[in-house]
Amino acid sequence: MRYLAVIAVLFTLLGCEGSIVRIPEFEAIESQRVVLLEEMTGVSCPNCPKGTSEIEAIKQRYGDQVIPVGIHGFFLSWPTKESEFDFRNDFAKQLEMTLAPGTSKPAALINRAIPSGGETRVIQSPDLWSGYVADQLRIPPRVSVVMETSIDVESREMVLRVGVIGLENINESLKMSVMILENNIIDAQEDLNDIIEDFHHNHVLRTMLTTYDGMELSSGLEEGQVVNQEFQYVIPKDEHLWKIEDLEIVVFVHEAGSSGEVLQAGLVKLL
Amino acid sequence: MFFRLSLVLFCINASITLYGQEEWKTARVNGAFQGTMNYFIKDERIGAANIPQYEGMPLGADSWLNVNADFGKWRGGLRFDFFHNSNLLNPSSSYTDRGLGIWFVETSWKDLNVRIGSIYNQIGSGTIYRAYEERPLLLDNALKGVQLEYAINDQWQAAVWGGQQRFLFDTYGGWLYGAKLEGFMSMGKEKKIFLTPGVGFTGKKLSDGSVSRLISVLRNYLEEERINQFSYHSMAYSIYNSLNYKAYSWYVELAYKLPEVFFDPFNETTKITGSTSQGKYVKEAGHVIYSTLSYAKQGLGITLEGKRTQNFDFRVDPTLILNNGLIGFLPPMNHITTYRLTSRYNPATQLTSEWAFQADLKYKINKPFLLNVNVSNITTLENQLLYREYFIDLQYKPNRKLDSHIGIQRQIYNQSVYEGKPRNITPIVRTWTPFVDVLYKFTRRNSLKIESQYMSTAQDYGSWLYLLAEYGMAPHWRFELSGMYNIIPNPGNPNIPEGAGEKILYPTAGVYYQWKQSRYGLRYVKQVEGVVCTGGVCRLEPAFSGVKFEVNSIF
Repeated sequence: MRYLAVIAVLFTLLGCEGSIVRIPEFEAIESQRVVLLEEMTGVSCPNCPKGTSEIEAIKQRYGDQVIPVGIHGFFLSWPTKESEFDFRNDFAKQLEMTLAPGTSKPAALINRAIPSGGETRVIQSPDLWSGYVADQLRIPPRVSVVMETSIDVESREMVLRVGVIGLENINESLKMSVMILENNIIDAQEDLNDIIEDFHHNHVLRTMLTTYDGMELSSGLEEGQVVNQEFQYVIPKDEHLWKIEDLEIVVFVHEAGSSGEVLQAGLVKLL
Repeated sequence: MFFRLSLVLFCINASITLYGQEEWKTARVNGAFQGTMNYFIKDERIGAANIPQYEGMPLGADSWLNVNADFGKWRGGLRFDFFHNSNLLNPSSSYTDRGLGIWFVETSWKDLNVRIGSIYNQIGSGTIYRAYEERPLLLDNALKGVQLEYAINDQWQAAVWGGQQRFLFDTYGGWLYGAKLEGFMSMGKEKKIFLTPGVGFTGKKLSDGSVSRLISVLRNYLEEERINQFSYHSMAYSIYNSLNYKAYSWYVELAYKLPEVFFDPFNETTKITGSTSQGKYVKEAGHVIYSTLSYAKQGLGITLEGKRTQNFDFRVDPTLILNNGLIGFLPPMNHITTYRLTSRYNPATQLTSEWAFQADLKYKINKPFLLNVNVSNITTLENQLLYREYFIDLQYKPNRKLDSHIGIQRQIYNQSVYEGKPRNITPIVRTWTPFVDVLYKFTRRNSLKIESQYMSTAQDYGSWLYLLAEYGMAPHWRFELSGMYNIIPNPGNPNIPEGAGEKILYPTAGVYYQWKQSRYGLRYVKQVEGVVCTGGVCRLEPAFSGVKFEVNSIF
């Protein structure tokens, strides 16, 4: 019994000892890295405006060093009764099903990496996103992504040329994914209080120019080696959506293995 | 996993060696198997769609195989878990994994009991610590560690433990430790007053991972709102007692949590960028006061129950959400019913702000009639109504052949709080639900049970009619046919899936077969979306459409 009492007292003392953690001030990060933030979201998800607000705050802080992508896949992505549009598409569904099957929303993957101290690459609390973006920005890029686009506004035919340059020797097989996002879509969104009929939707994944899991880029890359790719696509005609001035193209290079971690991302506006 | 298995096998082997051949002859092995196979059939009309199982992964399975063995003074156990496209972890996701779910080895020496491996225990009613399992929610927060229990004398027992909380096939980071001292004594001239007092504490040490996550969140808060420092360690204490005197019984528990960082979903954060968002990490102390008073004598039973909760979100990692990483368990405060419609709206325990009361009366009017009346009321500490229920059930049981119930339930349910739906378009749900239930035994083997409920409400999905017929052919067969019909739908409700606001029948048909100690069930199920509560833990589950095959077996 005495031993149990001693152990209990030790536990209590351990609790009282309490290693104090002080919160450091925020520090700006200088980096060449561009971080991909894939947000699993949906217009019928009352908590998702919290994710939108967090992304706006992250963009405000890190600017073009972060590329958010709004993936309206399965869960809570079906249109509300006030919706004019349906943002779901096969690519978004496949991405949600493979990257974050049935996750609660909002949730995000940041460079598809498992955060340090984390167990999964799906981060369900928006409050944590900013810190993990900062962690990724501190990692130097291993490749560089250069992009160039041209478009014939009449025929809506676009051409995308991508150059990927190795910044160090990479032995892993690499893949590349190309997404088209649309900004400035005004449509309904549920929030914790109501259905907001004129919610401002940005970074909505509309389609991909590769398969959802990316195309083979190379079986490795040497420092200074360049791999070029060209894509052609005809932008669909629509009365309300697919506005060329609101479209962005996102390219990212990721590992071909199961981790699929993103090495570098880039964004270019179509106009 | 191989290491864990090896360790258990080594311990079993060691025990056999230690206690010799004679002991081995007394070894007893027992176990249980529970398994469910689900075949998901997409039905967009009821909202059974848009999750992986309905979009190409239609076959799912969950199973648990427990094997326990006694070798004289040694006991050991294993549980193998298997999940394939399972929707238990998250009802809208697909989870696949398998492995050794739990293992333990236990032995006693004089008055000391030692257990290593997976440990289930609780302090008092579980407010500051409860390690338990709820399979329907895939919740198993056993402690992986060591526990010592010591019987001081016939009246007092002490226990200490330490380890990490289980999460699926792994553990959360961080450490949990605790102790309790519990007693039993009788007092008074005739020793008719019985006391079972107890005291306990739970401590936790955050992992480096959760500390860095907290730092990365808190450093983004506006300076005025920022928590400047917090500790790796925090603790909670509780003191409790049960007093029994003649027909009276009184239980009281007081729990206090030292100030620590936790997430308050009802607060608002302002970030240094100026943006605001719902939910905020705060550093506050918390408490729970819980008490029940009951009287039971000759056909009359009265129970009064009350609970006050403030800031008691106590987790191994404050950045975890939903049911993940909870260290304690706060008991629910509503009437638990088994009827389909009366249990459709369940008030999940609120961790940050709750005032809850419940009164239950059971009165035997005369031989065939038993009356049960229950009233419960739950508000926030700011007096916002969360849940209110009135429940009356009159049982008529004139003989062994007939057992019937008739009653009515009134519920007022704050759906936006309990189910996280938008406040302004989610009104308070108000229901009236009369019910009738008749069980008639034709012979000792053959019986028929008929259940009928009608839920009248203008909110949520609208009004429902439920009918069930169950025919039993003991000891082997049981057949079930039921239907839940949205008799007066509420198509104007923006919260329900498109198409679900129509007159839709949700049928269930099933057959069960019992053979020795095994039970098999095959059911075709269509089930509407709703909050599912098991053992007081609740979550919102989407609609289900498909076939279920269930096996339960003990050996």
